[in-house]
Amino acid sequence: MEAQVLIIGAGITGAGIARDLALRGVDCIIVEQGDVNAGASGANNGLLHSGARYVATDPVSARECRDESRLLKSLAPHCIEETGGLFVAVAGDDEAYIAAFPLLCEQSGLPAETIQPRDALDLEPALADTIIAAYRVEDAAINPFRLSLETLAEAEALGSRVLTHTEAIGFQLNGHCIESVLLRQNKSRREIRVAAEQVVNATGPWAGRVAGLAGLSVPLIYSKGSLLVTQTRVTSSVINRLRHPGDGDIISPGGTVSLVGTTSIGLNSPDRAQPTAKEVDHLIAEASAMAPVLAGMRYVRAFAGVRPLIAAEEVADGRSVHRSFAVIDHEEEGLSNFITVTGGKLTTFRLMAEKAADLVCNRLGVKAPCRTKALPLASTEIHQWNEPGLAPRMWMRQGDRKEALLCECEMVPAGVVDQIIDHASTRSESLDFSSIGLRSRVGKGCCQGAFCGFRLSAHIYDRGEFKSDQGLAALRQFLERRWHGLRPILWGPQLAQEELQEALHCGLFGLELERLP
Amino acid sequence: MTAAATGHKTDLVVIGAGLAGSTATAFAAARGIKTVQVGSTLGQTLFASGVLDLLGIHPLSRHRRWENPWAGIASLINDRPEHPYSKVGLETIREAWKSFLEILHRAGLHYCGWPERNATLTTCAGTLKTTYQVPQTMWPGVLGLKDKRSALVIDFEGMKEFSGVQMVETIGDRWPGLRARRLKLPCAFFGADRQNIFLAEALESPQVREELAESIVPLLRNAQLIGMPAILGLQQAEAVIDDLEQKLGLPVFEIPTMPPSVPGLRLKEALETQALRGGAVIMHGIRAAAVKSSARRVISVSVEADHGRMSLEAKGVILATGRFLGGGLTASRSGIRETLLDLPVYQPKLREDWHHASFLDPRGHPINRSGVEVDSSFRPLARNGAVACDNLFAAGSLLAHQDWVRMKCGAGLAIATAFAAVQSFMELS
Repeated sequence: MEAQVLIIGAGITGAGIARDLALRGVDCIIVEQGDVNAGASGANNGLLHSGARYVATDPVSARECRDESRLLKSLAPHCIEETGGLFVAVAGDDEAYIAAFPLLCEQSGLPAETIQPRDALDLEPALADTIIAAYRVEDAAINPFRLSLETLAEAEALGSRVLTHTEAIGFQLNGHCIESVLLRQNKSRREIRVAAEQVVNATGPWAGRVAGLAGLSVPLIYSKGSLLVTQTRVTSSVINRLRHPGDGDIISPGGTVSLVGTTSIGLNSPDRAQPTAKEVDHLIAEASAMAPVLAGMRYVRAFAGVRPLIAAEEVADGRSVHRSFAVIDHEEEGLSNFITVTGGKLTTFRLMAEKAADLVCNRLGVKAPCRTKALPLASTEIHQWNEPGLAPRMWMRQGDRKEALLCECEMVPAGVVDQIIDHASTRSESLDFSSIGLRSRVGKGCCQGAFCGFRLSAHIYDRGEFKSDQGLAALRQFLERRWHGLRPILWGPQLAQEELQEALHCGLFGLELERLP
Repeated sequence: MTAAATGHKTDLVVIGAGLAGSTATAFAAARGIKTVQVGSTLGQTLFASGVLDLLGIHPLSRHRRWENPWAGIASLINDRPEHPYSKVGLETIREAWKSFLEILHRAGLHYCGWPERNATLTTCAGTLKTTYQVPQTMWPGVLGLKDKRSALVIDFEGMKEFSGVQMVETIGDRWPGLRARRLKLPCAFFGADRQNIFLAEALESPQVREELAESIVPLLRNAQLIGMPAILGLQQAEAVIDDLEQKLGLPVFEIPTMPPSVPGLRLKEALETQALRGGAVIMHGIRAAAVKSSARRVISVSVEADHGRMSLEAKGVILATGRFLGGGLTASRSGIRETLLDLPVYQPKLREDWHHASFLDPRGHPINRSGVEVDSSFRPLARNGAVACDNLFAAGSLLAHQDWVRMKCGAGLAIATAFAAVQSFMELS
C-alpha cells in the first residue's frame, strides 16, 4: 500500500490530523492497533474545557482551551452538549485560590460569573449545602467517540483509508528516511507494508514505543487517570472544584450518566491501566464533598486512561507537568520524514492537528491552507448512535415497536446494531462486541453485557456472520473487558447484578469451563 | 392484612422464596409442621435453568470434574469440613435428594438422570452443561447428545436470547447431526419481544400446537428428535410435549434458556403445590422486616407489605434469604452484612480481594465463599462464635464456605441444607 502520509494512531489526535490533511488534498492511511479512541481519547471525562481549570497552573492552555472550545461549539455542535459549568468551593477549601480565581480568569480572558451559593444550589440541587463560593464558566460536555468517528469519517470521505486493529510493528529505514512501515493485522496476523512520504506518530502514551521502532526516544511520563460512571446523571452542568487541580474534583455529564474523575497515578508502562477499588474510594470521598449524593450513588463502571505527559521537567505530581501538546520533529535526530504528536487535551485537538498538518504539508510542499478553523464537521447517520438517548427516542417513535431491543438498559434496537455491523463489514472491520458498543452504547448500562452480550452473539449468529464458536469467544472477550470496569465498583445493587451475571454465564453456560483458549 | 391478623401463631417461619426457602417449606409441610413462608421476591428459581446440579467440580483449585457427583461429595466432605455439604453428611444429602424428587413427583413434575452419574446437556448457548438431574422434558436431549442422533432445533421469532443457529454452530463439532430452523409461533403478540412466559402460555393452547406441528413436519427430513426452547407449556409441559410428540412422531425435548426460566417456574409451582397440600401458608410479596428474639430465642418475625405490617409468632425460623441478588446479604464499600439480623458474615478482609482480575477465573471469586457461618445444626453463629439463637436456622446460598456457581452444586446445596435445617428444627425446637 502507498499513501502520502501514514498516521499511526486513531485517537482524536490522529483523526484530527487525518481530516486536516485530507481537507488539504493529502492522501492518508490511518492505522490503529485497537479501535478508534482505544487509548486516552476514549478514557477521559468528555469535558470541553473553557480553560478555567488551567487559569492558575497554565495560562497558555487556558487561552487555547477558551478559543478552541468556542470554535468546536460552532463547528461540531452535534458532538457537544452546551451544559455550562460551575466552579464550586466548599467549606475548608483554600480561600486564597478562591479569591484569586476571578482575577486569573479575567487575565486569561475567560468569562467567570459570580453565583451566590444559594443560587448555585438552585441551579444544581445535587451540590452540597456547604458551598461557600461558585462561578459560572463556559465548560461543556463533548462526546469523544462521536467526535473521533465523525472526524475520521470525513477524512475517509475525502479518500483517506482507516485500518483499525492493525499494529505498526517495524520501520524500514533508508538513510535519513522511513521508506516503509510494516503493519500487522491483529486477527489474521497478516502483514502489510505501507510506503509513505511522511509518517506521523500520534499514538498518545505509546508514542515512545512507536518512536522506538525507528530507534528514537520520546521521553514521556505516564499518568493514570481513573473515572467513575454513575447510573444516572447527577448534575446538568459540568462541576469543577474551585481549588488547585487535584483528584476527584470534576463531575461531568455524559448524556444520561455522570462521570466522576479523576485520579493521577504514575505508571511505568502505558499498557493495561485499570481502575482500582482504592482509587474508586478516593474519588467518591473527594467528589462527594461537592455532591454528597455521590457517596450513596450506584455506579455502573469505572475506567482508566493513561495521560501521555511530556517529560519537560522531573516532577513528582503528574498534574503539574505542563500539559500542552508537543509536535516533535525528529529531523534533528536523523529522520527527516517522521514526526511525533503527543500530549495535549481533547479540547485543543484541532489546534494540535493543525500544527502537525502544517509541518507535514510544509515538507510535502503542499501549499493549501488549513481549513478546519472554519469548516463545520459533518454529521453522519451511522455515527450518531453512540449519542446517549438517541436510539431509545427513535425506537419509541415506531408505534408498533416491531424492532427487538438487543440492549434493554440503553434501549438499542436490532436495526441500529445491524446498521453498525453492515457498515463495519463493508470496511472489513472485525466484529468484536466492544466496537459495536463504542458505536451504539450496547453494554454501557446496568447489566454491563450480561444480557445484551448474549443477545448480540445470538443476533450475529442469526445474521450468519459468526461461525463455529466465534460468538462464544467474542462474548467471553466482551465480558472480560467489561469486568475491568466493573470489578472496582461491585457493591450494593451492582454486586447483585454481578451475581446474576455469574449465575448465567458460569452457572448455566459454563463459560469458565468451555473451550478455554 | 388487618390488625386482627397480628399475632398470628405458627410453628415455623421460612424466610425466603428461592429454591432453598421453597424446598424447606415443602419439606416442613410434608412432615406436618405448621409453616408460614414469606418472601419479597418471586424467588431466584426464575433465574435458575430448572436443572438440578448436585456437584460438578471439586476442588476448584485443580478444577477436577466429577462424573459421579456422590463420589465428588465424599471427596469434598473429606477435604472441606466447613462446606455446608460436610455439615449435612453424605447419607443425609442422599435422603434429602430422594425426598425432594418424591415431592416433585407427587406434584406431577418428573426429573430424570442416571443414579450415580452426572448428565450432560446442551444449553441455548451451544455449551455443554454438566448437571445431575434434568426435567423429564429435557431428557431426550441428554440421550440425543450422548448418542449423537440427528436432531432438529426449532426456535421462534422474537426470542432474542435463543438462537438455534448459534447453538448448532457452537456445539456442531460435538453434536454433528444438529440443524436449526426458525419458526413464527402462530399467535398474536404486541411488539417484537417474545417473553418466555407468554410463549409458554401460548403453547398450552391445542390450536397453537396443531399449527406449530404442521409447520414443523415439512422440516423434519432425517431428524430423529426435535429440540425447542424450554417454553413448551407452563404447568402442563409434560402433556404439551406428549401431544407434540404424537403429532410429530418423534421425541421432543426442551433446551434451557436465559431467565426468566419456565422450568424454574414449574419447579417453584410444584414445590408450592405440595407445601399448600401439606397445610403451609405461603405469603407472596411479603417482606420479613425484623426478627425479634429474647434470651437467645427467636420469638417472632414481623413482616410487611405495601398495605401493612404483622407479626408472626414462631417456634423456629429458617433463614433462606439468599445472597446479594436475593437480598440476604448486602455489600457496601466497607464490607458485607447480613440484612435481617445483622449476623456476622464470613468475608475477605479487603474489598480489593473480593474478586479476581479475570471474571472467568476458574478458581471462583473469593467473595463467593462469603456468607453466614453455622453450627452442625445449621444455626447461625454470633460474633462470639456461639449459636446466635437456639431456634434460628439458615439454609441455601446464604451460607458461607461454598461457591455453588463454580462448583456446580446450587440445587444440591439448597435441597440438602433445607432438609437439614428442617430436621434440626424438629430436633431442637
